[in-house]
Amino acid sequence: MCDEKDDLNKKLTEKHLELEEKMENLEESLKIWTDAITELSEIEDAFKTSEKPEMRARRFWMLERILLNRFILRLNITQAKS
Amino acid sequence: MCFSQFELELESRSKFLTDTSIRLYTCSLFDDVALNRIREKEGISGKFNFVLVSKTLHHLRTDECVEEHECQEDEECCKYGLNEEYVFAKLLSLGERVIIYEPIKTDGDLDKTRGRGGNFTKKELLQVFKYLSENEKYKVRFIRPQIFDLDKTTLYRVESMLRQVDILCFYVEKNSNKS
Repeated sequence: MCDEKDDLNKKLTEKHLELEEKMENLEESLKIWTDAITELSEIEDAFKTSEKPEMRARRFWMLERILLNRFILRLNITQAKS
Repeated sequence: MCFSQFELELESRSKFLTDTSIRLYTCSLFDDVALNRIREKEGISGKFNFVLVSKTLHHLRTDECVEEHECQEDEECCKYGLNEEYVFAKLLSLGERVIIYEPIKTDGDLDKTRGRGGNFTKKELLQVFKYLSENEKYKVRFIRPQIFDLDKTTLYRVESMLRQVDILCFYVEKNSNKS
């Protein structure tokens, strides 16, 4: 009975250590990604694509969607005022 | 309706309005099977607009030491090379534009494992830029510390630039004028 308990404890400890290590690795990965994303503002010029018509078109599509949101927002404001 | 007056404002504000989801995967860049599995899972077909290689280019070294010494078993003093042609061909197969954001070696390399990793020295980076500038199939533009296009006529600017900074950013695209 005591041996079984010891075995179980040992297994649980091993699993705990394994998960702890996995967690540390994931935290490290997340930190790397967070740092990389934070630094994006420093290199935003690298994402300028005005010389490429096909990418420009895609950007316009995105802008159009945003403009639509803004337009709806403005309409709501107008309605509220009246 | 004219949208141009709103464009600038919308462009800057779009950073805050755009929904972004991020998923983390562990996969070697050169493991085509695993990479394709991830792309399939994410529903990605064709190329990305951008591939950002953030402080990672020095991890894409080969597995052959380029130092002129007798390699020890732990390879502590070893340094693997970089196959520029292979690496940039691979990256450009994934995206239209490959953006490299890369530190330059200062004292100590915390992420060096055997001969892999370890930030590039100025000499190594100069070799990379020499290769890129001599190949007309690439279009290369420096972004940081200064913006200029790299080619044979501007290569001379790189050496002095590398002496002054500890990190740089440039991008590489396929030159549409050359095959």
